[in-house]
Amino acid sequence: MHLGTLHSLAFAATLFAGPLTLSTLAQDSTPPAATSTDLVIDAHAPTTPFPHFWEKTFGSGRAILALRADYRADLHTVKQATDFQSIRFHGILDDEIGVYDPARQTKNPGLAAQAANDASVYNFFYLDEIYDGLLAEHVKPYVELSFMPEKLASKPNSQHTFTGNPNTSPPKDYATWDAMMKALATHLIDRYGIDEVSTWKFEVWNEPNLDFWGGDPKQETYFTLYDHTARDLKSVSPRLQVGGPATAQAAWVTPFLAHVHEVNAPIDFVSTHVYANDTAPNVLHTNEEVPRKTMVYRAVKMVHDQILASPYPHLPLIFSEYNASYANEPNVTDTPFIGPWLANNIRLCDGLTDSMDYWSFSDVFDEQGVVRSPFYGGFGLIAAESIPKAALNDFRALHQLGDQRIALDSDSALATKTTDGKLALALWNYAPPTGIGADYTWPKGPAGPPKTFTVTLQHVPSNASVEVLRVDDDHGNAVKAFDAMGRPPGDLTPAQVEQLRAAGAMAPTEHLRLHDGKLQLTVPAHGLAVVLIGR
Amino acid sequence: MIHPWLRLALPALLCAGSISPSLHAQASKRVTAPFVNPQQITIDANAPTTPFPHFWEQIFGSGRAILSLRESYRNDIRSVHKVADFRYVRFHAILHDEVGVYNEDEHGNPVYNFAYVDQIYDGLIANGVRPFVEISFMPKKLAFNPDALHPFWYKQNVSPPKSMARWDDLMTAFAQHLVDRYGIDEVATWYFEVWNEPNIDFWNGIPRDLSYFELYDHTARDLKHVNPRLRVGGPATAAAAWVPEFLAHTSANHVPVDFVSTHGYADDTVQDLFGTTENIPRDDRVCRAVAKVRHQIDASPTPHLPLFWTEWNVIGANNARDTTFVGPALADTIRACDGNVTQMSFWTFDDVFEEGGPIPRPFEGHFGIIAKGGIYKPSYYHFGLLHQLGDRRIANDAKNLIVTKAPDGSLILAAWNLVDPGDHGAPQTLELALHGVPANAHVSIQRVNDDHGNVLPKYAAMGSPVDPTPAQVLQLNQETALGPPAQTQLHDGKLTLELSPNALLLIKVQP
Repeated sequence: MHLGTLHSLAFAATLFAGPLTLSTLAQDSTPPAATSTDLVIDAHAPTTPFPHFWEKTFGSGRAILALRADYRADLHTVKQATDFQSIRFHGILDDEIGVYDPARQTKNPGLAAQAANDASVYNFFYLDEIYDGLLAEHVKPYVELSFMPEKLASKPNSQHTFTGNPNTSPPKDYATWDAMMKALATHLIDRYGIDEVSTWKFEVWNEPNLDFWGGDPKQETYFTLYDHTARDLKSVSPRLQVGGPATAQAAWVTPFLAHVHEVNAPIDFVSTHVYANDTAPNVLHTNEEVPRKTMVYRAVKMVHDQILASPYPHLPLIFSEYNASYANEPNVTDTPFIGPWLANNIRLCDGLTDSMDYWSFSDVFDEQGVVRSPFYGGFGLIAAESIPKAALNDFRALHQLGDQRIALDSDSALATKTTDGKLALALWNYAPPTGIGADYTWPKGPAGPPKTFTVTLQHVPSNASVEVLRVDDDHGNAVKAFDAMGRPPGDLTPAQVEQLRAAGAMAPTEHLRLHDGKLQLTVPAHGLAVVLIGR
Repeated sequence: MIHPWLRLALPALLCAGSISPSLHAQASKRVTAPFVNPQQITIDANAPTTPFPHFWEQIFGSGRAILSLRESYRNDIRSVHKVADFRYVRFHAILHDEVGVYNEDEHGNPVYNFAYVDQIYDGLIANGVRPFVEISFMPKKLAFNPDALHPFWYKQNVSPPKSMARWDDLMTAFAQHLVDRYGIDEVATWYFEVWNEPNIDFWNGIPRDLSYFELYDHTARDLKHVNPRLRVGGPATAAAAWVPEFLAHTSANHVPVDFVSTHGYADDTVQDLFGTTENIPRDDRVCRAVAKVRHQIDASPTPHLPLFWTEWNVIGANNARDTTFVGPALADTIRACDGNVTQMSFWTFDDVFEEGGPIPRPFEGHFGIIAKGGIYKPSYYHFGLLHQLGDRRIANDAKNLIVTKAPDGSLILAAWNLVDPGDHGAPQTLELALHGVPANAHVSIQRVNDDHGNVLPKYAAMGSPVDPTPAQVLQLNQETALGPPAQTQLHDGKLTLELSPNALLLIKVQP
């Protein structure tokens, strides 16, 4: 069973589960007993800063998709929910953006193609339209400089398998690459102003340790790309912020920083990636079995410590991609599993990283081709057709947490204080996903026993008002409605889409009061509750 | 042989030495100021009228299917709706692989995915336009020749299918899906056109005509098999080609056909359009071709079929499509084509368009009436003026004037001074004598010319930014917005109009 989730401070099982709990348990052949957790929280306890590092930046589908109306609608939704600051995506240099095409031709029907006679070899029209669209929502670009324009590629046939087949090869000559990087930076400063662009981040490439980079040997050739690019940007303005190595599986940070130090290349931040189903041999270089629950934390801690031991111990660390899975696993990213997993990562990673960038904000996303069903295990907070997932509601709820943290000895709770002095708690009940892999596993009941929290609050009025935001199997969970439809395999009707959008909406806030300074709350497995306590 | 317009203009030419050089320089070019100047025109408001459907503003072409998912594309649809009776949009490549319709599983079995098709059509319908479905191009895995790629930037496959049975299955599934999703009453109002310009490099079947006819037969029967109310047509040819042969074929083989479609541009050659070496001015070629095809249909076994001119545009030289030239050329085309065509689809409504790759700057002479970034070209305002014409027409001999009547009895006129790209032209004066309206009737006049609704000087004054900011786009559109109409009245039943080169005027005379 799920004894691992039983809190050490729990001293008694809740004997009387609520009616909802009973009815859900009735489906299960072996009804799990509820566990209980007691918490004591002093509103006057010392606090530590608690920046919302998990909702500063999100990933998204590739650059060209940012022109789409549905992308922008979803962007607006997530901005409203999280007030996130920037967005990162691949492919701003892909040929479909048209930035570099020194020999563009125009073609009229029935006539031979002819040279386009462009004034410049650079075309920033789409790039501008993309960034304009972000900035209109007060979201900044986190500029991932990728991939290689075909006409600048050293290996024109070095194509990635993702939709659009971006070229992954090094530039055929660095003078041309340097000129393009400088032109790009100059253009951005001309258009948006250095005061704005100096607040952006420029990250060199994406996952050069995997098949996104065709240089050979990978590490050495990437370092060459980094050195050139960082120096190019800084030559345009030293205020531009540049970083790398943007590796998968938290790789290369130590050799990268040693290299940067050795050649005295500019660097403003370290970036790397991890996914919770990455393996310990790949990430930690150990033979442990690290569960999905803690893999991200282990990688963050490792890289944090590597930076501390490097010549640049104060460099910010950005995990510019992470999620509970690098694959499409519908039981993972589509379901309320995400809430407790996310909250627990926040609990563990606080103080170790400046930003963790959830990949991705929306399922306007087509790396593997055109999506045909909204619930296929896409990475996003919002499924196709703008259907909100439980993950969106999880982020929406966690956004309510304050910016000062009160220490708490629990692996299922966070306590924070808001700027107006209220307490904001997150309480969750982690359980592993109901299934793994690309095929959906139908739940046969709750994923584990419910957890009853008894929270004693000190230095708070003993009958203070309480608001509870819940996300779990029965709250803000579109997948439950999708399951009830029988998980239609093909295209949904407009009526079905409307039904799912409604089912995925945030559940209404519950209004309670403390009784004698105490609050008792039961959270089902895969459940997250954010509790706001008035004064 | 003297062109009819020259005959009309001869008296003026005899005494108009300053405007004649361009006349003789290039025989196929329109004559500059070919009319008597001043021109005296009599209009009788009580003259008989004929129906005047607005056949030029109800279908527009656009960039390919996938682009319709963009916000800029949808913004531009909404903008065009403000000036035109925009009802249908036609674009290429709904079956291109980027839309993801056709795939095959690991066993080679077909897998259909209509998710993006739905998003594309949903987006049109939500913005008040319906699809004029051009069925094209070939999904790579269904292609007989997977390497048969068109040179357009987006590299669509132009091969016939590897299996007609599989094509039939796809067409059947496609049509059935649309009927299931949107309802037959809705889809019966759409049009389905088989392929695009199969007579040129958009189709590499061999021989082109017979292999296209086979594709047409299968597709038309597939659609009708799903529901006989679906409307299907072709041959969607470039340069007004193949219509007699196509109709002879469909008639002889009893293949369903609900409309005839073909294309013709002012820039097409006379040889391509007519198979002759006549001197036909470019401004006249589209309507001459329309008339030719109308007569071909009239002479066919199916003489009552409607004619849809599913692509056309005015002369493109000198980036003319960004200039005030479009309006007079458009008005002249409306004047000359009226009665011979059911619908004409202006190619395109905007410049969200990538046939030559991403467009690097706003004014390169692309087809649309809204430039890249959402900037209104003069043609945007031209459509807005001509939209206000009435729905009954009064015949008039003048070749630079359309006279219409609105339901409230007012006269609504369009007058223009067409000057071809590269020519300088001269001002033209029209002296109208109006009968059947009060001698001092109230008159309002709207105009688009070099100084009204013309973005190019505003853009130049801004420093011709290669990448205008959203604020600059807004500023340009505000600066070109047409002010309120000029108000005046008839004097003794007369009205004098001064038309600068490429001015288009819309005149309303109250009853």
